[in-house]
Amino acid sequence: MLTIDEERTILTPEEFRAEQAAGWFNPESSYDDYLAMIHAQWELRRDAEEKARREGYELGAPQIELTPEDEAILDRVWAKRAAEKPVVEAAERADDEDEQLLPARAA
Amino acid sequence: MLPSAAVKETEINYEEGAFEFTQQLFGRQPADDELARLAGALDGATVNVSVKKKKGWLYLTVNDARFERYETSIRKDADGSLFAYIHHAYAAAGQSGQGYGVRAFLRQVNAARRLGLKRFELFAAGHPRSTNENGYYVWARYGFDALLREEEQAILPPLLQGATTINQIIRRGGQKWWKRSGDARSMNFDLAGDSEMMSVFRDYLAEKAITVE
Repeated sequence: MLTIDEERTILTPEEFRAEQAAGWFNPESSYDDYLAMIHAQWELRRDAEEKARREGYELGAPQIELTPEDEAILDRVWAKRAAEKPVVEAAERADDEDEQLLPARAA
Repeated sequence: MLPSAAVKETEINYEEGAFEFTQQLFGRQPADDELARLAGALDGATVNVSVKKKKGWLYLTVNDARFERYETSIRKDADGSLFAYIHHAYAAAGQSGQGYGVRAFLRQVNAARRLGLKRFELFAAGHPRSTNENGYYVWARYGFDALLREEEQAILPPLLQGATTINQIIRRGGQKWWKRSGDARSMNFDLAGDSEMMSVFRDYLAEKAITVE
């Protein structure tokens, strides 16, 4: 049984399959894979909290604003980055000979 | 280089031992203007400088009505390189949405690069259902990055397969995926001039027409 932040809603198996069918997850992954992802994320938070406690500081949760205008600007900025670096990423993928790329599908 | 200008009317208060520790940490005494910027102080703010002796941190606290809290520590990595850790950055009630956070962070980036820091680090909190914390998504949009866990990589949709970092997800147009499926973690902002983070932030500032800060 997973112990997760109570606020973090975990998809039910049915919800997971529906989202998977809609393209949000690897079509070859299982519900257990999804739960493993949630658990890994919980571990990251727990590790950060434990490190802060061990080293004696308040973990904090710094926030920065993101207005709809900012978000639109950042969409354009990241799209520009994507246009500049696709070859590098293709090369990175090609380096991994064992990786079987799944067919492209809109997320 | 990012846009910059002098910090006006900012007071620096050194607590006991902080002045000497500042010199020791940087190998010289930064000008008040530089230290104020490194703290993220906007014009008119006051900065308190203290030392966390047991940890070996210089601790910078900004006192400014525009922020509920803005606190950063300056630390050394195991290899001796300097980095900044943003502990708290919260707009005061009624002050959010006015761009103060971005301007404060820009000042920090400029000063940190000038003072030879290698990166910023922070804990980007929140998760998809959180109503009060969205740092995991918003800091990532501004360029902060972290590795994905293997379990996250395994479940990525086909278009995002092969991504190993949050930056790579967003560069491939997966920001909605990260918003829906991401989670809190420690994130870094690499201050090298050619880093992905600096490029994103520089282009954002240019589009936002922030020409001087």
